[in-house]
Amino acid sequence: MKSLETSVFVDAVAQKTASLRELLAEFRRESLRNTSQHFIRGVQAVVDAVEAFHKNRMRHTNENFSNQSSFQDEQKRFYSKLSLQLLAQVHEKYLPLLYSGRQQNEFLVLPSIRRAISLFQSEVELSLVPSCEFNYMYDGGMENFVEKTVGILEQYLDAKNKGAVRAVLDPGQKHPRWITFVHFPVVERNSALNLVILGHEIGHLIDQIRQLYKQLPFELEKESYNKSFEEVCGSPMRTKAGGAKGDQLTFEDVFTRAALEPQFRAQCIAVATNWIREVIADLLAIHALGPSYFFAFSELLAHGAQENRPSDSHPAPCFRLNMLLDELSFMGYFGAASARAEGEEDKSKTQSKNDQSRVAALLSASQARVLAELPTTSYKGIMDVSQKTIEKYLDQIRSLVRPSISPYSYTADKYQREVPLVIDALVQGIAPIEALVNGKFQPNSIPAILNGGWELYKSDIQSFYERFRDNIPIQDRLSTFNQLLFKAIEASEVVRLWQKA
Amino acid sequence: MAESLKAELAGAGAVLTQSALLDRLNSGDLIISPLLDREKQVGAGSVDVSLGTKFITSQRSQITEIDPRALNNEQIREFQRATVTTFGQKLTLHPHNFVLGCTFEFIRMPLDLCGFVLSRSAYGRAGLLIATATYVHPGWHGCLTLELENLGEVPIILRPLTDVGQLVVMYSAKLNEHPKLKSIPVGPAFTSLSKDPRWKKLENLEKNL
Repeated sequence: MKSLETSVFVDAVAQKTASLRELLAEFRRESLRNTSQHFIRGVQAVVDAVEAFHKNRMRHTNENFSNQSSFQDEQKRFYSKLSLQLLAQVHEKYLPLLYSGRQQNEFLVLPSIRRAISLFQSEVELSLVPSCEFNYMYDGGMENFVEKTVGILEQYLDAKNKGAVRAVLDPGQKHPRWITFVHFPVVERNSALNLVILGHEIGHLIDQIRQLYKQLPFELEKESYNKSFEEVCGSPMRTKAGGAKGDQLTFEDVFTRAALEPQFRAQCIAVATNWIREVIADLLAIHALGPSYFFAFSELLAHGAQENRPSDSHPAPCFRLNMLLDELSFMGYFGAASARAEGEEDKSKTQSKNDQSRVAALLSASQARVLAELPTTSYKGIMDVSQKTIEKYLDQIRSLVRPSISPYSYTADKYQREVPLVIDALVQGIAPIEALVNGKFQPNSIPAILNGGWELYKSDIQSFYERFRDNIPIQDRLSTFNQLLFKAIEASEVVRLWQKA
Repeated sequence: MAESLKAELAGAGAVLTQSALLDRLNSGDLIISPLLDREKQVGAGSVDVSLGTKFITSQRSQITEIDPRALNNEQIREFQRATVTTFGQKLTLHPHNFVLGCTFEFIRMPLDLCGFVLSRSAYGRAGLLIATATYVHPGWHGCLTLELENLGEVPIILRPLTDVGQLVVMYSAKLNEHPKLKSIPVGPAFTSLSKDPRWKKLENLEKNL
């Protein structure tokens, strides 16, 4: 804007930098829980870099163009506008993530998630972002965001000043390569049971790290593709009401096959790729978290009141449920484990068998309902091509995912060993932080805590509720149940870290 | 006194020493979990307990007094605020200031044991008082609320996992069954003065006098 004085632009940078600094200092003081501290420090580093860049350019302009007033003004405006754009980006992109960090659960769950991610990749930081949308989402994150900003600014420096922006960064401050964000509905922040869904979003992150989806020899299923393409070509063009009468034009009449085909193919590939990535994330989550993920996912579907319809981004819910049950079967959850316990005489193993049977019974009941609904799912056009494609590749996807997660897969054997001890503690109103195994106290694993919580919740929560006085509302008892699970997640992780320290 | 009661009370009041504490902890009926440093924490006659991450701090408010009978939850929230001090952070307790904290350890007292929470002498000598309501009932569950006060003249830094307290465990006459619970706290509890059913009775009594 020519009507604004140059000093307005220069001052705006100083004002905005000061305001952002104040806000960031506040966030740092609060030390937001479940938010990557590297992210807060990274944003601070970006503001530092922009400020240093702006000061450097103003000084350079004053020193070198003092007798060219109009060029000096032009330069100052340019560098100020560039700085303001970058600061606006901090304001729009990063601050909402930091603000939402104030709505976190009071327990620390991030260290457990960080440990899970570090099994696959170091130098990845994750923040949990409570969101007002009822949606869980992994947003892909930012790679080297501090370095990228500094790189942009350094490009605008003259040879004499090269390195001036980079120099303001604290050399001891290491910024992780990836900063990633998982959004979750704020309403679920106090529900350990529901937050199991985070496992799926972290599955997306692991897929991105390992590039699993790229390893598939991807090709759309031909028969359904040809059929659907024919339908598209032959489908009538929409005409305005009261339009010209006569023979109805089809898409093919207007656009030709050659023009339609690439677009249709691209749409099919986009949808099928989305679905494959969802399937990979589902498979990773079910392996990492066992039946608890199936139960939490089922409840998420109920919350969303979704019909059993596929969308551009996700396969049909019923298909996903069925696939999860198949994978649980592969992990030994349908009968095999309880059969193994057959004939065992000592009390603990009999108890394990009962618990194994209980979860198997819960899953079998779900399976009957899923199998009844599965054939009724309707697929048309692109959805049909994607569904057939995913069915064609499902075994390959499984073969790809299983080896990458198998060391951490929460199989029926592990469940049988660990979960009964967790349930036993919960029924007594005890936070299942540790279990006594072979005469030694060991921290319960996170999947054991979550599966114990879900199994008890699904099958016998009344035995927990009965510990309370009659006048205590059910919602308070359920809230206490979730708090015991959170306490166990936080404290068991502290025990693990303490043992390493 | 009936002979059965005499027999039951014979050991009541005796403090559990290290071997008895370890026996009861290892049998799983006395739960103090997690004990990060079991050998150090289970002492000759007590178990060291540490600070958790959750605190309730007092703040200046517009209420003029704490009248336990007239107090409601909104008023309590006016002068008490829940905060979290995570690992790596610290909370400064200024001279004569008061905050509520909680034990990091989750405790379940069996039906035949009770306990008292005391300051560890090393912290007591530095001016830190950690508990005023110190008794732990048989059958109690949860993380204990600690009433932390700096009685000295110099600010004291509090950090999670600092072992500021000790739990002395004693035998008691055995309860017949687990008492029904009001809650299972895993953080410091706000005062429950406003919920005391005695106020209603007292009001009725005053009307009739």
